[in-house]
Amino acid sequence: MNRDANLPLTETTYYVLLTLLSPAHGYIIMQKIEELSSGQVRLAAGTLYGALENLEKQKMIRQIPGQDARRKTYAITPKGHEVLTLDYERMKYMILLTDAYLQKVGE
Amino acid sequence: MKKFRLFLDYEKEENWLHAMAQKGWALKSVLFTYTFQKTAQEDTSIRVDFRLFKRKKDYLDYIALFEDSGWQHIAGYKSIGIHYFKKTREQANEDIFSDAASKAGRYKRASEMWLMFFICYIPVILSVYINTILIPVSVQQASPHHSLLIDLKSLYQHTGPLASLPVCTPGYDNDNSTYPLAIRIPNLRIVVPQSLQKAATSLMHSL
Repeated sequence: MNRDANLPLTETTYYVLLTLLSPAHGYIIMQKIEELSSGQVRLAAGTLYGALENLEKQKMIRQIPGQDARRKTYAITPKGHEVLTLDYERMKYMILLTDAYLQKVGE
Repeated sequence: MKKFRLFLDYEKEENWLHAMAQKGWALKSVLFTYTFQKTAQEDTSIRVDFRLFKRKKDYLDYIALFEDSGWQHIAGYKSIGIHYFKKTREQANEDIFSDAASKAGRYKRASEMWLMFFICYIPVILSVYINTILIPVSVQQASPHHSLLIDLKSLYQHTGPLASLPVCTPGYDNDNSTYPLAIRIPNLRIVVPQSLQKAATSLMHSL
């Protein structure tokens, strides 16, 4: 199978891409991820800053003009969207496969 | 109060700064030395990050993100790379990194900076090495009154320890006949200036 070089995504990058489906700046991303995961995933500032920098370098997210002059606002790019979808399908396939296998073993 | 310390381990540095804060010494700036100011005793966590910034805009965004999440930037400069943060909110994350890879990343960024620094300073380091090790050796071989010229280009081509090079006797006739008094060390030529050659030759003859 010829898989995209960016796969699998780390937990941090997956959540960042997911929240950036609607544009946001760093702290908003942090809060959204915490809210989405019901407090299970709490990204720290240093980790998030590095993740945003890398994703921008890989052209999966881009900066867009925001209301806040001091804080950079980011949005997902078509490439980022594609990678996110591919990783979602990868995980979905893993879940299906695991379910089927567990059933077989349980029989 | 100023204190001089060197740390290779960021965690040890963080623990030391935490202990200083507990004793009532708040970190004010770090530039060669740590500058502290006496304040009330504080049990706050201090964290260290390493990151260089080219643009002021990036630097301000970085500080804003940390401040938003409960970590105040207390010391550090845009182009020096090392940054100190103090936890200001009780419910903030206990660390400024939430996964092992990014926590290790600061060492990677710092070592890249030091590697670049070292590469840029190789000519300086090399010239210090030449002045302190090679010149005294060569002066012993020739007359101590002669000023010597070192062919720097051949020095760069040489590999291996310079001090261990076999030294040939003065007057060795090298392929460049315009300098009959050149002292030849493999890949390294020490040349006596032409103005001094006549005097040196007559000295050799009288011996």
